[in-house]
Amino acid sequence: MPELAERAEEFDEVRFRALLDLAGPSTARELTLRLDKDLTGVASALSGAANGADAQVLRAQSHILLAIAGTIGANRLYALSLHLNQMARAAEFGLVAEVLREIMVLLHRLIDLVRATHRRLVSQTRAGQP
Amino acid sequence: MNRPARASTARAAAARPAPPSILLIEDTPSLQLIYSTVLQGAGHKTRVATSADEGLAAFTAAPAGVVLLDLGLPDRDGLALMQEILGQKPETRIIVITANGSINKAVEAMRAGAHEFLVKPFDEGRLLAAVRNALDQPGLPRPPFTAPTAPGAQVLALRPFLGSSEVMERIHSKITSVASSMATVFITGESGTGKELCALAVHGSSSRGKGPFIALNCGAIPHDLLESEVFGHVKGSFTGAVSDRPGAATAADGGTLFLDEICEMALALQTKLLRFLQTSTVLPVGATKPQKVNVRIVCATNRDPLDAVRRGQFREDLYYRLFVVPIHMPPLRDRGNDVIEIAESALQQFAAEEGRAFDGLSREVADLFRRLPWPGNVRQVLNVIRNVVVLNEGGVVTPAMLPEDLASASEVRPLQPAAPLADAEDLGLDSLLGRPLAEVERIIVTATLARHGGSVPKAARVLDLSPSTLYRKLEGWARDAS
Repeated sequence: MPELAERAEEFDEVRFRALLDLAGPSTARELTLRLDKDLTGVASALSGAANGADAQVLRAQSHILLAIAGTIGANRLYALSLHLNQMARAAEFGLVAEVLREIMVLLHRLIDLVRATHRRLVSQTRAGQP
Repeated sequence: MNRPARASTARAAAARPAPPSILLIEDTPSLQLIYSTVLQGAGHKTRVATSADEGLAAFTAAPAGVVLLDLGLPDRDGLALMQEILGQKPETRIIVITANGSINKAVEAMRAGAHEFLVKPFDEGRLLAAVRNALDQPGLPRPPFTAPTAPGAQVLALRPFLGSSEVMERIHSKITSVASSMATVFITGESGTGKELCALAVHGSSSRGKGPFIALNCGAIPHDLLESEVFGHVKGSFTGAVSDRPGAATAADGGTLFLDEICEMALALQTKLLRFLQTSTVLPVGATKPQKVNVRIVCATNRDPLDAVRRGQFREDLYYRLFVVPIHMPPLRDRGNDVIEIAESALQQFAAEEGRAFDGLSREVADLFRRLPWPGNVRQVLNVIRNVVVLNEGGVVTPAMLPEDLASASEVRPLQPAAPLADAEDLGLDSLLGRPLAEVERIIVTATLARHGGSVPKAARVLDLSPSTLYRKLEGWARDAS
């Protein structure tokens, strides 16, 4: 496992919250919806590629994942997806299954968090809160 | 994107008269929304497209001043799209977006005319800095070349480089084409070939030409002081830091920072330089708050930078960040008649300075100059001419006026091994075993030269040496033999 992934804290909530604040309530709701869709798409594609070690899919999906994860503060997921991307580029599949297993756990946890955030934002709007 | 956009940034951007619009072409919906939110939050009018086709249609309908272009689009190669946009409107500033592992593609894009590149993931500060830099650049036509006048300009800076050889014409053309971009320029070449003049020419031809040109020799400053020299320090941050002092990066704000002998920079500082390149912010030694700067980096080395990467002396990620537009300054011996133009020009200039009257070079001297290998390149020619002017009253420069050791150096070329030890084809390991290492080196060098028809540059390339090193070795062996 790369040093970066070992050191990275799982999630920088302050960073995520700052992004939502920047977006404002309406755009934040849209953002969480889009994040849910993008991350679910990556999770689905990665589970399909996991057994066959499809380098092209691993490369493309890890590319999307590292960009999103790194942007929203999912630091450990970012580090792992970067590692996966490098392995896919180098066609080194020895550790792919192990890395993917952890990625999938973190990815589903992130999707849950995004969905929960979306629900919270929607209920705040319904309750008339900003 | 770890911080909301600062209100001051938003106000400043909003105050800009009729800001040019930004076109964002990004296919990942969540990232598209994040980037556009940050841009709009800072007051930039932003349109979005999710594919190459959509992006091209949007640009054709209403050209944007700045295009943020993700290179990994699903329907078309991002580089091809970039070419098409630049074909329609060459003054468009294109900021390419790529992922960490695709940095080569970003470099390719910079060489093809992109203004700058961003590597995902990037924070909002980096995004806004890149856009601000792009917006701050004036559009084409590019400013005409003006002679550099910054400190460090050498005696022959009336034109950036003397010499009309084909290879120098290509370099002039490259300088002109990269000048308006923010692309980092990486200059390589042997000592004395004019790397700093090249950096000055890049600076002087660019829209930053009126800004500062700050040169820093990374090899000449003690490692423990280099960080402070580059990034500055605050009072009391270390013994001797008696007051706040801005570093070279801050001093170069709005201009160009020239980092000479970049491969000599300590690895720890390379990490900080990389961070600086990624964020456009500097953190002086002992400071807690980073400062934003707008600096173009030009760097140089007389070493092979890729070799330094292979040896672990230079960070690979920094190499790819810096090695965007490479310019190789050729050694003087590969520049044909340029040596005569340079010598004649220097003769006039130095004669005027010393109050002497010289009538040019004699044919013998000109012939000799063309034959000499000039391991010290232009600097060596200038020293020779200075020597001639100081020690002689005037007239036509004859061989008798030249320094004595220069005449003996002419014997180095053409390069025939003094005593061929073996033909390259006959060299086996057995024939080398049992010999002293110095002798083995000489055998290998001699055989390599023989294989390449006595061409030092070609042999040097094969041996992974600089030609000047090889010339020095040959001169040493010639002296030993005599």
